[in-house]
Amino acid sequence: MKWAALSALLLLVACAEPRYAPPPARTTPSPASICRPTLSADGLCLQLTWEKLPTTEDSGTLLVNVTGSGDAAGGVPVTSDLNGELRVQLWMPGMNHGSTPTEVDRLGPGLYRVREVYFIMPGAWEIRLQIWRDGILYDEGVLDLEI
Amino acid sequence: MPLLLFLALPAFLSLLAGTPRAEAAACCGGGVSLPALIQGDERAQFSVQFLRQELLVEHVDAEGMWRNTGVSTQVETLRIEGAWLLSDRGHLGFVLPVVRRTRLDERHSGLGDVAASFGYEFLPDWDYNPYRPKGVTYLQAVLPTGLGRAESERGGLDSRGQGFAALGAGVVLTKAWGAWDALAAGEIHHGFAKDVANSQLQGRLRPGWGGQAQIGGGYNTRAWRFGGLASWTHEDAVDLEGLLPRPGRRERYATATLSVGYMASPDWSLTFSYMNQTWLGRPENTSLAAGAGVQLQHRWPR
Repeated sequence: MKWAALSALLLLVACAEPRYAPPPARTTPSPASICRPTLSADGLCLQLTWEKLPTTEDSGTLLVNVTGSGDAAGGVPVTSDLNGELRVQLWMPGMNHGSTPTEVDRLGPGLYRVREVYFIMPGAWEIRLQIWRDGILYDEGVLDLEI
Repeated sequence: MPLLLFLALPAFLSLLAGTPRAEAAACCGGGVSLPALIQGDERAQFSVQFLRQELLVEHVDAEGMWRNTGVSTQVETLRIEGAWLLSDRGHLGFVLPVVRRTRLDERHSGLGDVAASFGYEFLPDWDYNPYRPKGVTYLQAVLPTGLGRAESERGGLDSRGQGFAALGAGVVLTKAWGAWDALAAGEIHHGFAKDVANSQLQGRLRPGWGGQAQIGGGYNTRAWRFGGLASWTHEDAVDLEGLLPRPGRRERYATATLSVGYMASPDWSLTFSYMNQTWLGRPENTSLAAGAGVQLQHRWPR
């Protein structure tokens, strides 16, 4: 009994084992993010490319290109406009918090620039692309990203 | 046992229980504060603690991988607490934390989660029993005066607490044998859901249960106490409910604290402490820090 209690105590106070993760090779969404993420309600694809990469001290800029699924055009994705306002949130599910608000500029039909993209700490993040209609959240596509 | 040490033991118990306890999770608010409790033979006590933490690990994920960018982040906590007797065995307490967080050129400060507690000495040590510990149990109510990390629109930098109303209960057992003393404590709490709508979230945040377990001990001389304390903290996942729900993830971390207390008089004591969250346990979904603190405590004897 005494040894069991001692073992339990030692297990409880066991030292932490640091396992530092190597930094990710590139801070970028997957290069061919065709149809990833998708807006399921409208069957649209969102292609994300970095215009400016974020750093530990500075925000980055993303370009979002909205295309149709491509089925109607013989498999070739065609630019398609969004029916609603695009908002972009950065969310860290492991820590249960977001980042600073981003700003979205509409450059033309189906083309957007997302500014102030900043990740406050390394780890697994989500880029959440939301469509708002008349002040109501209508749809959301999520892209996972390792920072 | 020297007579002076014997007479000072009740006051040393206050020092033991007064080991600085503002060591929340380093990032973004962290756990529920432990309450102010009277452990010795006082009718009232008042403490001011200042703790400065530096982030050592920015993020530990669910698989236990540690990540750090090297960007300096500091968390400073001023914790004011007091407790006073209501009856021979019952007492009231309060904790009022103020938190300031600095990262690069961004700084946020404000009130953390304020807590009030009722403690009851269910195991008195009137006969100085050599084996039976002294036991205090308590109920604690936490007000959501500190912004929670999920509500933050600055990546948690402006978070100063859990941000949820919570009710908790706990027990603290203390015992002194000659120049040595020991502490074992446990606490559980439950947070209550709240609605949130900002640029980051729309829906209802639902926290779950949380708790802490502590063991500690110390060695006392006539005016000094050298102590150590280990705390393990668990917080259930905070889920977002709404049109597009987001499941949360549980948070776990352990804090090791070393302290040196100086009892300037039976009424006044000063405690210096060093805490480190990278030494113990298997942290998950949290940040880890190390820091140093100083606590000044005044006691009014019965």
